[in-house]
Amino acid sequence: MSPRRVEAEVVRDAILSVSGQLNPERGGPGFEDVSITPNNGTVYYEARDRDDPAVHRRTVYRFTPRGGRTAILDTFDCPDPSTAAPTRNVTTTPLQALSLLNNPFVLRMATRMAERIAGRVGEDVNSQVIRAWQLAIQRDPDPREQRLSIELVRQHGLATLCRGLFNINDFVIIE
Amino acid sequence: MSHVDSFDHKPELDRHHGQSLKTDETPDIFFGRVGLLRRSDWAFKQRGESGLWISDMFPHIAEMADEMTLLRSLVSDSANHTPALFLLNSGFGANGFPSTGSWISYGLGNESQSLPTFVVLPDGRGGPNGGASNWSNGFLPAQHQGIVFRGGTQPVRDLFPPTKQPRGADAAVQRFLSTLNRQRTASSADGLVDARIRSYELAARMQASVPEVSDLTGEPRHIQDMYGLNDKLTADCGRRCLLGRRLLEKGVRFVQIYSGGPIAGSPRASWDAHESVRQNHGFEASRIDRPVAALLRDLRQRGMLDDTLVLFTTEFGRTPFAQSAANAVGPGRDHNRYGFSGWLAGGGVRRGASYGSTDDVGWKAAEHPMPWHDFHATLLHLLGVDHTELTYYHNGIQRRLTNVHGEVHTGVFA
Repeated sequence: MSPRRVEAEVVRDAILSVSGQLNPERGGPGFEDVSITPNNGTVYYEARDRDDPAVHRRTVYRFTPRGGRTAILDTFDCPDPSTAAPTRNVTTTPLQALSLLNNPFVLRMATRMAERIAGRVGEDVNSQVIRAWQLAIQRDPDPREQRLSIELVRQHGLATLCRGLFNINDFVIIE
Repeated sequence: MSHVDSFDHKPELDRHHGQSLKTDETPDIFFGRVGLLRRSDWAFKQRGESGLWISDMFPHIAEMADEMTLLRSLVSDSANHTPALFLLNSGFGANGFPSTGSWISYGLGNESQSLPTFVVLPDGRGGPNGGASNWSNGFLPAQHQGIVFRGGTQPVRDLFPPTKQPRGADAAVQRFLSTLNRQRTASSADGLVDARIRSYELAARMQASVPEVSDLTGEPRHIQDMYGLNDKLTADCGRRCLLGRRLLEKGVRFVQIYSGGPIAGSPRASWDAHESVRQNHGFEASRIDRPVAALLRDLRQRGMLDDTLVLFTTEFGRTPFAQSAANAVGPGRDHNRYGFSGWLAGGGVRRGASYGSTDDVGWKAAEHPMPWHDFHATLLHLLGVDHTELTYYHNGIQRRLTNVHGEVHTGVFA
């Protein structure tokens, strides 16, 4: 299989999953993470960040109004629903990097992931780091990764490592 | 925007004020009420050395008459705001097609390493009908979408974390990423990996360049005054015109500045003068007249106008007849897709000229009708691009901004 970057929906779903926040509910009406403003015949949709388990379902259940994509979906090439897209573009842009680094959803999930890990393995930084890599990257860190990760946790906290792991190549590229 | 009140001087309309439009047709307008012909609410004067007729609706823009080519024969396929905006932006009445700015980004590429290629500056009162669909990249790759620059400390979405991170954490994460992302050597994912490394470096540069270009406080007082930054009425448009110039200086290819927010609502926050042209256009024009003129003047004095193209457009005009009972001259005008005005200025365009015309009363385009496909073909030509060659393969079709249409109107060229 040739290496590929995962789709926008997968990026979001994976973040939810590894931070322990994925709501596994299947079927039924979709979730809405947009504000809906009717204005005399025209309706405006704008992406709205909602910290609510009801919207932590898989992205396939997202209500997708035209022009109302979230930054993660938008920058990772999820097409606007007004466009038929038999194949998707795969772009790599600075705005994508900014969203994966700074989006409120991503930062909140990094915190949840840190809480999840601390709840599981306690205060030992070494174990925290290993658990974080296992969750996010599906393998143990090599010695160098381990060292850099421990350094990051000691100086800036476990949530900062989780934020970092959401951004490394292995989180979004499948080989 | 009403052409017969601004850029399309119609003495015959004055003469026929209060009479009915002589036609057997049922005009395709929005509310369907065809009142009697109504003269312009503003006086027209000849301007500059060129003697172009422009009304007092835009006293400041009128001073720049000698810079522009007036387009007096624009036509559209829709008299309905949202599809008409899509037609103007993408050449298609439905959404899902790349906007002009996206095509230009795709065709010309990026000159700036640390800013987007296509920037959109919506009216401070809100986005236009159709919102972000107006600056969609459609099926073009995502880097060609229009990026909205807002005011404030977060000019671009997700430029910075929304909440304060632990001290030094942002830089530490960036270092962590660049070290780890680089450590892998030869791999089949090299192309992707390299692109990702670059994207994080560019992201860091954007965090410096976006706030820097958006900060207008360093502009001299006389420039701020010229753009109307210190007047409540003109500050919103003035800020965006000045920001537009700064973005162009930094290599942004296409900047789109909107005048008018959501169409509906009361009081209106757009040019939709159904109730009263005098009141509505008077107010809207006063918000943009000084800033737009300042932008032209500033581009000229900096020597930028020679290779910058300025487009002043509207999705359609207004009817020469009033929107009122058939036997009355009401104060408002309905939508008119059959003929309306805009102008071009700058790179490659004739100075102090007008092109095309409407009929005697300004209802329909008469000479050189210019549908949006023609407008886009002409615009691309001025940017050095053959509109038939700028294609993107999508869903079995080599797509173009001009679809299968488009005539270049050489009459507007210098």
